[in-house]
This record gives sequence, C-alpha cells and structure tokens, in this order.
Amino acid sequence: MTAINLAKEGLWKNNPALVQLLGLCPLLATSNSFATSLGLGLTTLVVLTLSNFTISLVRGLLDDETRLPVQILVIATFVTLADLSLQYWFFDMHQRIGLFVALIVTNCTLLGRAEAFASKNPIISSTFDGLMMGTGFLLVLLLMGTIREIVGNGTLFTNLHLLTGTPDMSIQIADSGFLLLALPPGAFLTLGCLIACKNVIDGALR
Amino acid sequence: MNIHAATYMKILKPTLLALTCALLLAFTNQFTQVTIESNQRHYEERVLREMVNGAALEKSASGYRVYRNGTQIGTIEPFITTRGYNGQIDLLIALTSNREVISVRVTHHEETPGIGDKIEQDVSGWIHQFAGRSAHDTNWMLSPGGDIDAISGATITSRAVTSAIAEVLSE
Repeated sequence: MTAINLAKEGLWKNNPALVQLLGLCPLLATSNSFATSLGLGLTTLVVLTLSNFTISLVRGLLDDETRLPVQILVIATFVTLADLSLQYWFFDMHQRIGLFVALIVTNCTLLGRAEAFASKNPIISSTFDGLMMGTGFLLVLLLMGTIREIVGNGTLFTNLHLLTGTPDMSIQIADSGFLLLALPPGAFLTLGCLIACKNVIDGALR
Repeated sequence: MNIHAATYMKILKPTLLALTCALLLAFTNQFTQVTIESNQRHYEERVLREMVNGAALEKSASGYRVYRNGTQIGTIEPFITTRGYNGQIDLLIALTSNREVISVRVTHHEETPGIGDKIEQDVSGWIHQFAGRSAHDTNWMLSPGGDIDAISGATITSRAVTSAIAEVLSE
C-alpha cells in the first residue's frame, strides 16, 4: 500500500475511533477536556507507532503460537515506558490521565494494528501505519475534547499549561456549560454525533 | 531430535524478547526513579500548602504541625492504607488541635478509573464529607449502618479511606 493510501485509511476511511470503534474506553474517559485529550492522544500515538515498528521488526522471529503473547508484551512494555516518561516530565498531567495511561494496553487499536498490519508488513509501512492510525485517533480525541469542554464547561485549554509548561492559557468562553456533555453520557452523545457527521460526509462524497 | 530443536527455538525466541523488554524497563525505572520521587514530593508539598491555606507548616515526627500567628492550630498526618481495591492509597489528613477533621486529600492511589477515582478532590466532592467530623460525633461506618456515604460501585475504596481516617482519629 502506498503512503497516501495508508494515510487515508488511518485518518478517514478506517479511522480507529470513528469506523473501527476501537479504544473506546480511553476515548470516552479522557475526552472531557482539550488538555487531557491531547495528553492521552499523544501518548497513544507514540505507543502505537513504536509498537508497530517493533512488532514489524521481530515479525520474522515469531510463530503462530507465540505471536500474540509477544505482541501484548511489546505493547505493555511501551505503555509502561510511556507511563514512566509522563511521571518524569509531566507529573501534573500524569495526575490527571495516569490511571488511563495503563489502560492503553487494553486499547484494541494497538493489538488490532499489530495483528492486522505490523505482523504482515515491512518496517517502514508498519511504522507509518501506526503513525497515521495514532493521528486519526488523536484528531478524533481532540475534536471530542474541544466540543465537550466548550459546550460542557464553557472553557477551553484548561490545564493545558501542565503539558506545555507555559503560563495558564485557559479561556473562559461562557459562564457555565451544558453539564451533560461534560459527564460520561456526553462522551457517547458526542461520539455518536461525530460518527453520524462522518457518515453524512461519506454519503455526500459518494 | 529435530522436533525438539524446533520446539526449543519456539520457546527461546519469545524468552529472549521478554528478557530484552524486562531489561529496558528495569533500566528506565532506574533512570527515572529519583526524579519521579521528587516530583511526587513536590506535588505533596503543594497539596499541603493548599490544605493549610496560607498557615505555616513545620515538620514533626509523625507529620506536620500547622501554625497561624505563632500558635499551633492543628496537625496534618500522612497515612497510607493498603486496604484499597487495587494497591495502596496515600492520604493527608488535617486535624484541629481537638482532633476534628479539617480536610482530607488523596495524594496517590491506583483505584479503578471512573469509579474508585472519585476519592480525588479533582474528580468529585466525596472527600469533603469528612470535614468537621471527629471520633466521637460520627459513626465511622458506611451508610446505611454508619454516617459515611459510600461511592456507589466503589464500596471497598470508600471503606478503605473511611477506616483510614477513623484509625488516625482514634490514635
């Protein structure tokens, strides 16, 4: 597959969050603000790219019997490394999303890409596939975080300074918000609307 | 013989990969440990300052003494309970001089995301219900048997925090 095809698959046609509906647990749990979305989205992107690279690298060594355990091992290793790195550089952000970082292991997008793509394809295209799938996931997460934070709380970029290390850059847009969107059911509603929008656009394009 | 050799190879390769992963993790842990611990300490100090709201702190044998205008108004006692649902829960408990709870904060826990994490003050206001309580005026059991409201779905977590505070108060 060409690079353009891989990019199209990850970002739109086969987007992990909107089409494959994988990794919903972290997607729904951390999408209540822009900053947490960015934190978890970037962590997932890095882990997915590295795990795809590594699994493609060792794919020649593995048999049918040992493939899955090794894939989980590789993913778990990178998630633990990401968790330690977050505590090392972004401790305050880790206080917010730390519990969900460990759950990246159970994000089916990672094992899905490892098994469906990286274990069958060369290193460069596997790494690129991880990068694109991760970016697709990150973009949906960011979109949800933005919508839910603005509508649910009337703010944007709260706590973003914990990631960037700059002064507080939160913006107060409204005095209060439509609380439902900030609560867990709001995540399902937002995701449902996004999927519906994507289907409408797809229909119009066809 | 050949079958054996093939089987051994099948076991050997994942074993070597697992060893590589373990070494990588051990090395990273070694490298990051000191900074992570100091980050945790800084975080706790910030939580402490928030809890005392401008009053002066002095380290004591068991925790901290809190002073306002030169007189001691209370103490902050750290407590670690291992009775959580998943791993230990680190608490800071601020008490007045007559051992009434001023406030409680959780500084570290590994409870279930979305359920047990309601003990954090950033997630829900659950932890505020302990303010103003003391050993005698409260039945330190979860409701309906006692006076403390549990987090629904996280009874073990709620009980761990409640009994930890009760234990500190009864000391």
